[in-house]
Amino acid sequence: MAGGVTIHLEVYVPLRGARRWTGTESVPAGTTAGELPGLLGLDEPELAVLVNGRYAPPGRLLEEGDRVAILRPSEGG
Amino acid sequence: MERILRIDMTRGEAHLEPLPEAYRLLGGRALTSRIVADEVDPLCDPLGPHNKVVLATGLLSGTALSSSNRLSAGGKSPLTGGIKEANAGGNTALRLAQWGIRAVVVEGAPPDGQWRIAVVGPEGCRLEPAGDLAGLGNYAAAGRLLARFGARAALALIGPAGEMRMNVAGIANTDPEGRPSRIAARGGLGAVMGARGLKALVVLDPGPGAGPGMAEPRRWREHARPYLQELRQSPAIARYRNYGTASTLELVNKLGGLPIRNFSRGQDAATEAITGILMAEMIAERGGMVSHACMTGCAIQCSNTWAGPDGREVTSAMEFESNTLLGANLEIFDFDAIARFVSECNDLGIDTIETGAAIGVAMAGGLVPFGDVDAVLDLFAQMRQGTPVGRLIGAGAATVGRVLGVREVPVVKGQAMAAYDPRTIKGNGVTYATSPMGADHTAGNSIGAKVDHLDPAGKVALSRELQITAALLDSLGMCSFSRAAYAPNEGHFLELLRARFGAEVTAEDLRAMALATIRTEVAFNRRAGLGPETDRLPEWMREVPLPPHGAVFDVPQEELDAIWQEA
Ligand code: SF4
Repeated sequence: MAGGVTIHLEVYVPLRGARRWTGTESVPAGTTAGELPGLLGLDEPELAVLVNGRYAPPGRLLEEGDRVAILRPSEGG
Repeated sequence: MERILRIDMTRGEAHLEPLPEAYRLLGGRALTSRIVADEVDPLCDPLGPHNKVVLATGLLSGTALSSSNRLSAGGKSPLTGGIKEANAGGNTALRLAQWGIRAVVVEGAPPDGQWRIAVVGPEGCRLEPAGDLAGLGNYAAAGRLLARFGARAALALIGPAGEMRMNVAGIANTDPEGRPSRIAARGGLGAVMGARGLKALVVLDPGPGAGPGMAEPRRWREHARPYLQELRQSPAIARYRNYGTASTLELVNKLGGLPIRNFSRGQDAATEAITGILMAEMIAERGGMVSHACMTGCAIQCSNTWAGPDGREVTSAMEFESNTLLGANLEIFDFDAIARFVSECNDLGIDTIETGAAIGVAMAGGLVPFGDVDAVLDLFAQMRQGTPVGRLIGAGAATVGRVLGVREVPVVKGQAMAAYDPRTIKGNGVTYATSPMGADHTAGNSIGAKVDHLDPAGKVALSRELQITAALLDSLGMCSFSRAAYAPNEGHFLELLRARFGAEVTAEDLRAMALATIRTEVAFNRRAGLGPETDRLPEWMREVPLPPHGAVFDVPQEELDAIWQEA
């Protein structure tokens, strides 16, 4: 992936052969939170993208050092 | 003609009454709350002879529509002192609706103090002695009753906690395989049933083809199919089927709002040991059921069964709320331990949320150490024996806090919060504070909204809409997890109601019914002495910051007070 912005990434859906993937990731400058799942090749619909512990609007630009988590949305009943 | 079954425990009689016209388009929560408001003195003693247990089927129950057979239980709560509705899956509502019974009202108490069961079948309902079941856990009692009345009968029963009138006691319902694991858990309605002297309601299988009347069967068939298609295609529904509710844990943990160590932290790396994705893998590896229908005909199937390392079933079901309140909240990050706790809760017939919160407060008060699995199992044993310590836990989190001098007690109106710390998940904080049900996430759960949960702005409006939708689904008898398929299919649901009742119900009618239900409940609470001053989160949650965000609950009180005043 082309350099630009380095983020800390935690992915709670299968990625790169792991049930849960965590590490640093370099994404092109200008990448938005909404674009990130597709950029990583995640094709599950409706994934939740949290940036620094908050839901990020899809248009939120990722910034250097952001802590990003990608998870399945879910609720208890 | 649909009917109400009235069981008079004082006289030992039961009879069927015609469903009053005023109740014809009321079901589930709308009906339980209406009957409670009409028949129960708000000032009565919740465990005294003037309170009642009302069970109601939903407006769409008894049909083949997926997830439409939630059973609502209502009464005055011994936990909150206000009106309560708690609903559950299982097959009780299906069977009642198949017999044409919209609601069951249980009133009075046997003068001889002896336990009874009520058996619903072709001749109506008869009461039978149940002394042989007294003291039995739900699994043993359900086993005996189903052996006697047939495996396809449905049961609504209370365990030892209900017999002992504990505030944590719920009403357990049997799933299609007879597990007494679907508990209308919140608010202590099992204690109210125990105070009536009713150990179990047994509803026989009426056989194939039974069901409530249908005004326009063809119209029904036309509109039932699109909803089922939506269920099958919806990504949200697929997630429930594949992972149940348990994956909510990693989401709420990452948001920093997971109750850990008696609501003192909102995030912990140790929760990696109890994530939903890990749970689904372990269930599959051990031969449990990753996906299971808690009621006949549910196509969502968010339920599951958990097997031990030897492959033998330990319990059903492992869910987010239980994994959090009986796990992370106690600093126990071990699925096998949590499964044993859930099994104990099912057998005692108690609420995993209230019990987990009560034990968390007990740990904060130094009664037992955090993280001690054996100590928790001992508390369950003491509840079963009815020792003073067991009864203390059985009284719920608020009482434990008062007895042990703990300030950080996560309750509203005396009822424990579910697995979303409201300092971070503020929409749920609004629901906890303003729902007439007390701190009950099912009354309006905002976690599914992709919003900044830490920002107090807009959370009153969000909670209000969710509370109205929840009241609506609860009244239809629909499981809350069908919500993802309800919204895009509201037109079909209206057609289904029209087909079922031959009445031209509109979306505005349904919304008005839901809102009227909530207002009826608020009015009951006011008459019961629960004024606006009880629509509050505990003071400490506005003052003690929650790591990792350092969040406090900061939705303005004036906004909370105005929530039900708008049109
Ligand atoms: S979705 Fe889950 S809780 Fe709802 S009816 Fe189906 S199995 Fe039961």
